[in-house]
Amino acid sequence: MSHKETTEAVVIGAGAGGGCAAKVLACAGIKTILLERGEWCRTDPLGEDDLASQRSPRLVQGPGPHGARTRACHCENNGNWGVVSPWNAACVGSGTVTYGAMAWRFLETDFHLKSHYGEIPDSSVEDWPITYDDLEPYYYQAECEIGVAGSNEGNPFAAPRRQPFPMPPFALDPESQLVWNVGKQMGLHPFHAPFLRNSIPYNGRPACIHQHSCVGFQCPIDAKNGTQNTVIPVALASGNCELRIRCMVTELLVDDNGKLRGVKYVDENDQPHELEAKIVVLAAGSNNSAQLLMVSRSRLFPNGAGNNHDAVGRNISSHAYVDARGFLDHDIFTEAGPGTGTAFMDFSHDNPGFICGGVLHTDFRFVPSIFAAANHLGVPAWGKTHKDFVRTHFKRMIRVCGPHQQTPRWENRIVLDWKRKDHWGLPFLVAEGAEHPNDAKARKFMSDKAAAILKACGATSIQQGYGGDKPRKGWSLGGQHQSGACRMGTDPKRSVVDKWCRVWDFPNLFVADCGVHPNNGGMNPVLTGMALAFRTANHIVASRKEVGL
Amino acid sequence: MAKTTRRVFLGGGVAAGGLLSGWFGAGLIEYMGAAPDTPWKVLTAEEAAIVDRLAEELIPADPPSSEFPEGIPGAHEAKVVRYIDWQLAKDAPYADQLPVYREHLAKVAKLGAAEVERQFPKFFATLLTHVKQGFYGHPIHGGNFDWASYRMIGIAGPSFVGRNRPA
Ligand SMILES: Cc1cc2nc3c(=O)[nH]c(=O)nc-3n(C[C@H](O)[C@H](O)[C@H](O)COP(=O)(O)OP(=O)(O)OC[C@H]3O[C@@H](n4cnc5c(N)ncnc54)[C@H](O)[C@@H]3O)c2cc1C
Repeated sequence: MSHKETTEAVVIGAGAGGGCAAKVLACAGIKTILLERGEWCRTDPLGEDDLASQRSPRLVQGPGPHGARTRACHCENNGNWGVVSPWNAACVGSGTVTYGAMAWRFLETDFHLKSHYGEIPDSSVEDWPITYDDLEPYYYQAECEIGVAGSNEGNPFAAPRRQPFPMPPFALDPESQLVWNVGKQMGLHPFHAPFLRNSIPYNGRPACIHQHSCVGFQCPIDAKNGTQNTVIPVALASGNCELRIRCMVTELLVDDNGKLRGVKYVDENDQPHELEAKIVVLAAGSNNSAQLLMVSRSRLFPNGAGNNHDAVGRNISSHAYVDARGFLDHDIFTEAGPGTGTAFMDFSHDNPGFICGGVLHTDFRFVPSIFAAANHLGVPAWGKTHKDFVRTHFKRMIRVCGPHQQTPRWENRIVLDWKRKDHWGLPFLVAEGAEHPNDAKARKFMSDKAAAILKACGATSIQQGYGGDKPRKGWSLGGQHQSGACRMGTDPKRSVVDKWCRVWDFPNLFVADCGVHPNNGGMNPVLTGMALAFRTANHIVASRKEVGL
Repeated sequence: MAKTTRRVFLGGGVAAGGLLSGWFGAGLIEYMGAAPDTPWKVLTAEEAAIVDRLAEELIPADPPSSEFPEGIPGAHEAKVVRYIDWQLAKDAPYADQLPVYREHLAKVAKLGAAEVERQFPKFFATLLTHVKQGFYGHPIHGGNFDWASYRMIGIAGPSFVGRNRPA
């Protein structure tokens, strides 16, 4: 027998989007229950363990998911089955606990790719149903409430801001300073990469202490800003939000008349619960939100909630990371981390011969275990020569990299494998699809530009990484930058949610995670996911009467 | 094998941006697990000896030099074999690979690393990956004894600040 309860709002997933949404609802006086499959993250005993960090999870993923309970399935490019965890994280805050915290606003062009580039064959490139201007106030809300340091000085490509950044940018380390100076001489437009980290004491927490290890790790002094140390505590303090951890939502309850009644979840003791709610906000991350819609089959929605046109789980995209690295004839490494200071948006759009592109930036520090495992051109993989190389070259490396904005395709999608089920009986996720030919050109172009910058810096032994000249076969679930599976649009047959991120056919079901992005920008996605969650939740509050709140 | 020494942290005094001297002064050596009766959790003494020998060939020790008067440890001294043993143990992250190790170690007892690479490329790739993790990764997992690789590169180990400070 499952235990039944009633509340006003349920938010599924205490990650980036879910945390922001829960805060807005709770602070508006709406009784909210926030359900999270993971738990609160702890730094001990894995404090700065590079073999268990979220960036290099060689042994385990620090904040999870790990273990048999949260496994999902993934069809690898070569067609072999591999059981993997669904990247990002499974804890209060999700990826925002351990992320690199780069805090981009998408560019104006990203909101209307189709108008800008025209119809792109074999793609599902569309305009968003909203513009950058519609989202701008919520970008600012996210920047203030979570906390962002940055400056657009020197960057003519940035979308216009109505307010300055809440915190000033970080100072550059020697590597970023060199790339900045050289980039400028080359006629490029270096600027300070924006971060969800405190450059000054902010919001009651201290300024960043420049740990060497940052991305992949929880900040030991809480100077990195995620939902777990900002909006979620505010939501809880309002007295209107209850957070339930180790609770896995397994179904959205849709009755025979097609009405969403609430959700079903399983607690840490594997006890089932039914939670009735007036509204449900789905924020389980792109892949898992699509999974929940698809598994919630009912009389009027036999293929899952909101999936009568087979649009759920399609158009999934992430980022193809490209890079170039090389070596100077002197050390440039500094202990003060975390790296990544200088960025360029010169190659984000309007490049020759292909659409889109992405930001290029100096990167977070490599830890020795990543450096030693990497393939270095002309260096044997083991033996004395390899060891000597690590010793003499670790501190001389410079690296420029960036995420390429993938071209969305209707065919690139998640399907469920009902034959393989996880601990709770949820079917495994499988990615299907292939890379758009455009993207192979873009990857190489961006990597060439990164290499040109390094060359001008005086680096030698430059090695480029862009995944080869040919379009990649197969597709992936997108890992940390997963997006698109619950696409926002204007056509109910080709999208999953409307411009308020409300699932078509359901007045009381909303999506507040990166799954709604029609395209994922040429930059990391989290600030856009947060801004959209703020906008959606503010809309729910403003129209609360319509949904019976 | 060395008996497990359990040296204690000298406070958490490495301030933000703590520098080399501060870190090495802390003398963090081993802080996981009590001393076991046998040195290995799952490997037999013979298997451990083979892993140890191959690992040392993959990452050999350096003799003393002016820059490193005591030489630089290789995989043996950095206890890479212990790292591998711990990870292959029951319920450890690589437990499912113990049979693979068992099967191959029996066949490579008399082979040098280059020959293992030629004859068993897949196993060799796994071994090399694990050996590098054990030499360059965090000592909490049994390898990189005394932060050997960090000393070699000349960088500080992680600093203990805020919530990372051991209780
Ligand atoms: C190491 C690392 C570095 C990163 N660096 C950056 C960066 O620099 N900049 C950037 O923009 N982005 C970065 N990201 C990515 C960023 O964290 C994600 O884009 C972001 O968290 C996605 O937000 P979301 O709301 O879509 O989903 P998430 O934040 O993943 O939230 C989903 C939540 O739902 C929970 N959940 C899932 N299914 C269920 C269920 N059935 N029941 C209950 N709970 C469920 C999950 O456990 C999770 O907590 C990084 C991520 C990682 C891991």
